[in-house]
Amino acid sequence: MRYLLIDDMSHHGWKSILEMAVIKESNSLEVAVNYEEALEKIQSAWDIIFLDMRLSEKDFSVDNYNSYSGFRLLKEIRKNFDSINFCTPIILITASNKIWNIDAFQENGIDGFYIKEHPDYKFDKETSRNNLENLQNVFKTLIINGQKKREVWTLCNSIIQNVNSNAYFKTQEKTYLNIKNRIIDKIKLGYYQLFQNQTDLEKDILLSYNESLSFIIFWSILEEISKGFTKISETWDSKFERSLNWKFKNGEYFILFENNEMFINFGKNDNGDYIKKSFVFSDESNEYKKYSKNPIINLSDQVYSLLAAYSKNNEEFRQISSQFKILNRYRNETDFIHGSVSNILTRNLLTPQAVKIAFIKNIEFLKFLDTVLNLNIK
Amino acid sequence: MIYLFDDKKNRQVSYGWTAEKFGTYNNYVTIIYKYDEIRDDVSRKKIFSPENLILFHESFFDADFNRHFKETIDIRRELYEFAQDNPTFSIVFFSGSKSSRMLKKNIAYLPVSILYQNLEIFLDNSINGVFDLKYLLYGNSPNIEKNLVEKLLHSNSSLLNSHSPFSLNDNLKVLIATTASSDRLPRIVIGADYKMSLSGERDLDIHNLIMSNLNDQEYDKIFIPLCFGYSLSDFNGLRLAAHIRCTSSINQCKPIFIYSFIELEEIINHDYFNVLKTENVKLINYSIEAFNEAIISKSTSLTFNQLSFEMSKLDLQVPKDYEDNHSVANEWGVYQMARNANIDISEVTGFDKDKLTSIYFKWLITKNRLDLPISSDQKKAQKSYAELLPGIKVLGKIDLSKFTK
Repeated sequence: MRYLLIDDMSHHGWKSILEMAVIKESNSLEVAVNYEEALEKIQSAWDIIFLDMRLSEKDFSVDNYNSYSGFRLLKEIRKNFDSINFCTPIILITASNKIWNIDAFQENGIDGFYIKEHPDYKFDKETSRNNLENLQNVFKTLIINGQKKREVWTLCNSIIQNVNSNAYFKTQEKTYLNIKNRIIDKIKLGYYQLFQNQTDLEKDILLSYNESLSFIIFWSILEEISKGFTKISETWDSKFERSLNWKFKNGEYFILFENNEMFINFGKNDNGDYIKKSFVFSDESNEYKKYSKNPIINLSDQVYSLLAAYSKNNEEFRQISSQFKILNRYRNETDFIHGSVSNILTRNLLTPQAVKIAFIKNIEFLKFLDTVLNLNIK
Repeated sequence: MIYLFDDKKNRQVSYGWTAEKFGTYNNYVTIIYKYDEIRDDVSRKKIFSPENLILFHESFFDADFNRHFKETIDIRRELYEFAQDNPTFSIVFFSGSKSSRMLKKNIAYLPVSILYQNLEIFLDNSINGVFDLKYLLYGNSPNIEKNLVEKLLHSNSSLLNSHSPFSLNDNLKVLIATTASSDRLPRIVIGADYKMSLSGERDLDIHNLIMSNLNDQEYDKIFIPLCFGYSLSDFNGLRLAAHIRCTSSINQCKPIFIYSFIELEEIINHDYFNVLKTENVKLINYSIEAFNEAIISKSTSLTFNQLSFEMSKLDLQVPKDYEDNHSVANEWGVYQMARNANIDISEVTGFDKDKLTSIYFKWLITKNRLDLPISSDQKKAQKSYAELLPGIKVLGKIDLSKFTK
């Protein structure tokens, strides 16, 4: 684990005591004693950063927290989603007891704070004890949360990079640019939802369930990806009415009307021929109606077809589509989408096990998205 | 020319020395905030010229932006030696950790508060042709020390001429602390222990003196002088009384009598005056009658609960070295974290151990009963935390397969 202490008083006992009392590991804490040094050190990734509010004499002569070195560093660390320490938990270590200053730091992304005891503050023994124990609890929690955050953030960032470098989105066409921006925004929103702070009230009384809600947000990205891989001009008109055909950008079809027949592309057989469901034109069957007249087509069908259209071979298609199948099953049973009968009849809405599973499914789903964006589009 | 070395503008402002005020003394004072300003040889040659005065904050080279290849202590020693070898050149060392004043020819030491308090008087006199460091040390009363010494000599001779020394009752154990100076209190109480030889004014010196003199023999009563050290007008006896109360020893709670040859009103504004408002600390006259009266008076030791309460009356202010690199406030934060984590403070690297001997630190500890160990419940909680943490750390990257199982 890599910890950084940004504090001009680092060498005057703070590095040592934090290692001994909080981290419980000697020589585990690197230090930066001024703004410039800190700026250099935050260019590499840390597991937890301890940040002092004021690092220089100048900081004591300015009235506004905006100008404090610590605040400027915080803004730098949290500047962009792709900043290397964007997901790193930050604990503010300050001698200031001005709650409005601490509030401002909280608004801008610290994960916890510790007030250095000052002789002017009336700390009785109990408060003093609680002050340390609170810091220890925050640290303990943030070690675990920090690892989770880094794992998810790394995946999210990889997806964003893939979207940015994907040839389909490297275009001046407004529609595709819009799709790209929506994917990136949903990634950030899903990350936010997954890790947003929950109060005890929200957890215990209001049953806040970050993991499940973030899964739904991430899942919805498939809508954008499906459209992004589709040749829009040949699939929708200017009023967003779908033509009978749905054509992917690589020339493959999802839905094709040909010779009075409708073909649905759900992959190829071992000979390399398309496995196509086909229906006679003007068939009045439900399935026919589903693909021809209904303007809303199941997202899972869109995805299966996209996977079929873009897989290099059957093996790849089988592998990816089986991943998708598992995720799709989980998604269908999610209480906020459909919910399974067994869930509805036997389980509480929120259980620790369900939360754990939902978190894992978020990771699995992000990996799946990453895979889709890496499909061969040539 | 006067060169003022102080890396903290805020400190100057907090004592009323704004850029505007310094501006009125532009022709006489050059302020150096950063080492970079004097790195070149020309600047240094200019500074170290005869007739110049350096006012040097002891922590100047401790600031991270002023890091020097030499140790701060060596720089101070070299400055001292330079001044010794060049009598027309003067140097004044000041800092927040100093609590008394000292002047030896062209070399002076004083607290930061005194420096900025008296700087204007000193500069005005210098501009008018009276260059005398005593103005810097004693403000408008440059002769106060001379007057006090005269008063002391007079008091000593009156004391000896008034009554004969008297003997102690066999059962009583009395300590009479005296100064190291030849003008110390004559031996007027036969059978008392005359000890301590007070001379050093630093908290560390006083602390060590208490540790070595008040830990072997338990006394019924302790007498200490109001005036000792280089500057009698620092009234160090008040601080010594506070030190005795805040130093763990077998005599910590014993009755203290501060003998004084000056009047009460002269010390009423002293930072440690409130020690006289605490139980069992009394100011007595510089007379044999007063000593006799104090010795036969009924007085008992304080209990530790009383001690904590009495010390809260002292109401000491956070020392004004709050922005120094070794500020008390920051050291206090480290101390409190170590205490609550049940860690021996002496094991904390970078913590200035001398702070534990400073009266302010000792006072906080005594007043808040922090000399007592933390509760067993708290110790247990700390042990559990330490045991739990390595478990978390070895997890490394979260193994998701564990969850699916």
